[in-house]
Amino acid sequence: MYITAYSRITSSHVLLNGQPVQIERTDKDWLADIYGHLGIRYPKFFKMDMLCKAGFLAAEMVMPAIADVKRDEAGLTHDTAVLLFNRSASLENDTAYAHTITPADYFPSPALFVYTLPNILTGEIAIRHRLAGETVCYIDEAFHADTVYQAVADCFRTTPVVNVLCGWAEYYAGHCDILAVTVRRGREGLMPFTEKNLQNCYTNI
Amino acid sequence: MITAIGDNIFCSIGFGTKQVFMAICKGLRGTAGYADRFPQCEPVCAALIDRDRLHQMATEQLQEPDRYTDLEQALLLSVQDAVQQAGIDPAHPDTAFVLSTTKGNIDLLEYPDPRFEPERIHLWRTAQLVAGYFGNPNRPVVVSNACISGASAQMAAQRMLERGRYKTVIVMGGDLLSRFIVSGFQSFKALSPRPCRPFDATRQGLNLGEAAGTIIYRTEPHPAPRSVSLWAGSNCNDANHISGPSRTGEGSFQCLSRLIRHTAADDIAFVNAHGTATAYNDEMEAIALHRAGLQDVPVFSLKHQFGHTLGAAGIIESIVSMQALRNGTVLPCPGYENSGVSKALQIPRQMLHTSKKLCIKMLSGFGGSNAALLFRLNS
Amino acid sequence: MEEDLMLNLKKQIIEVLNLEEISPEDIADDAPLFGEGLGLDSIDALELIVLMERNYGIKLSDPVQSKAIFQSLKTMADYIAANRTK
Repeated sequence: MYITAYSRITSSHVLLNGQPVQIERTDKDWLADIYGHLGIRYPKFFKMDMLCKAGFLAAEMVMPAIADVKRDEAGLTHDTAVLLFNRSASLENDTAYAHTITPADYFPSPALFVYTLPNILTGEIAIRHRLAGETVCYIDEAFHADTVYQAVADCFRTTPVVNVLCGWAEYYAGHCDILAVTVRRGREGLMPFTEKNLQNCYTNI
Repeated sequence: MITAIGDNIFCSIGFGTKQVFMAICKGLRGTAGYADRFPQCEPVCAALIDRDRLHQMATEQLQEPDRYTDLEQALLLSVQDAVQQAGIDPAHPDTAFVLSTTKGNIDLLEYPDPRFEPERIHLWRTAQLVAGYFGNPNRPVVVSNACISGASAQMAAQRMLERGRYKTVIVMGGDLLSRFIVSGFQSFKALSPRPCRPFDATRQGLNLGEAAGTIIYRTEPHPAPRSVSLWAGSNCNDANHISGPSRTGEGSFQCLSRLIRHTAADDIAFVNAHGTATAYNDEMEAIALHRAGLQDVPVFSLKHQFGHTLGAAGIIESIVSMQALRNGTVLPCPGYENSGVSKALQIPRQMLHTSKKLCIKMLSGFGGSNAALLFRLNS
Repeated sequence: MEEDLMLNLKKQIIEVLNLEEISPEDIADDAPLFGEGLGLDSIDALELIVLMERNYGIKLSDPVQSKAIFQSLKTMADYIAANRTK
């Protein structure tokens, strides 16, 4: 297994394959500026909650690494899995949803409720990049490279998957901490997929 | 292949796999109407755990029950029962815990409780407390993958066991209802005011439910006769919409066709569908079953009896499927009378006998996720 | 008055549905809201039902009836003008 690309988005930094990416600031928010920098046109981005926006952008930066994947007549690939981990699940958006059900002003918002699950991020990534394989969201107290490594290695060992998009996607209380890594079966890429390399992708900012 | 050596269901119908299964065979259900159980929410038809009974059981059977939230109490009681049945040591370093839940202690968001620290709202904290209660030294795995969490958790357990690092994995799942969850589903207009009617022409939506469930898995080179093993699992995304299922049943079809490669449609005793009784889900599953060549296999849903128990659904519905296999029965599908889906399905109106040894459990969830599990009865 | 309602409705829809790259001038009164036109989806439809109640005091519970009301901005505004309680 080899790492073919990795991206990092925090509240103040963006990196691609370990190199800082300069984001031009406007009067919009941080994630909207990253969206602007990437130059994509995807109106659904603005419906997403903060966790999905941040994770979506990190995935957007690394997905060119799987551009050569096999696709069926509908343009779907069945060979790519998405395994993401985070600490706070969808708590950031859960709090926003809870504001729409206060007793005095009770108007539950379906557009917010739909994002009160952490795996919606894997769904948004799957829709955007037409990924019809396995998608799983795990919760952990912190980023543990060994845990992420094992889950990904297990996936490669037990299924015919060719690529796995994995990483850490945490967004809570204004704290943004995203790592997206594309891992490919075989021996071509930036570096071998190991616990140590995965840890370095996370730590080196 | 991993083998189930103990299990427990704790739900609106009762406590204990055998008791719950017998109740289902008698035609009982846990779904009932609640007019003002959730403030500001509209009246709801749901399958709720009796909280008084829960607290009483916790007082009688748990150490320091007041240290735990209702959900944690339910998980602890469920795991404890399964552990006793299986006769294993949950503190052994070769044993790991996996938790499946969608919202955990989310009621603490609206109703903070001074007994519980702020971190209690985190799903990893719930898993740590339950594993810690049983003295387990390993970091638990937590899956929060919408309504397919129970399947993802079992697939995670299979991979952990086949890796060889662990000998036993305790897979637990649980979700309780709250104003947070009920209000959200009502905003989706997804709920039926009556006990739901899977696949039926008059279906109006789903019922929500509460449950905790546990399955203890082990790799057994020589599984005991009448034990049930998880043969294979599959998980495929529709890549279509974050809350609506694919109109062509793409993900479900892919899951089913992956499982069918291991065997033949003729060998399958029944399919336990997700069958939430929403207009779109049931139609999608009917299409997926037909595309996979499973249209002649009996199919039923348990949502009329259990309600949709979210993170627990994949666990407790798998347990009932396993129990049905052991008993050589195909369960009926109460709430179903006339087909309301575009593809004809074999939906039993009464219990049937079967001597087939395989069954499939299907699940679907928000985020475009779909899963299916293939279970085998060992002779 | 009808003009004000139409303009306000467009602004509310843009805000509530997070139509970031769209301004009121971009939304034609008669353009279909679903399918083509604005291309709104099922969650947007549910959110519009909430908007009707929160801003105009109109309770919609029948999804089939709602389809006709949400056909276009014009049909929405007409329905609101006739049925608003706020």
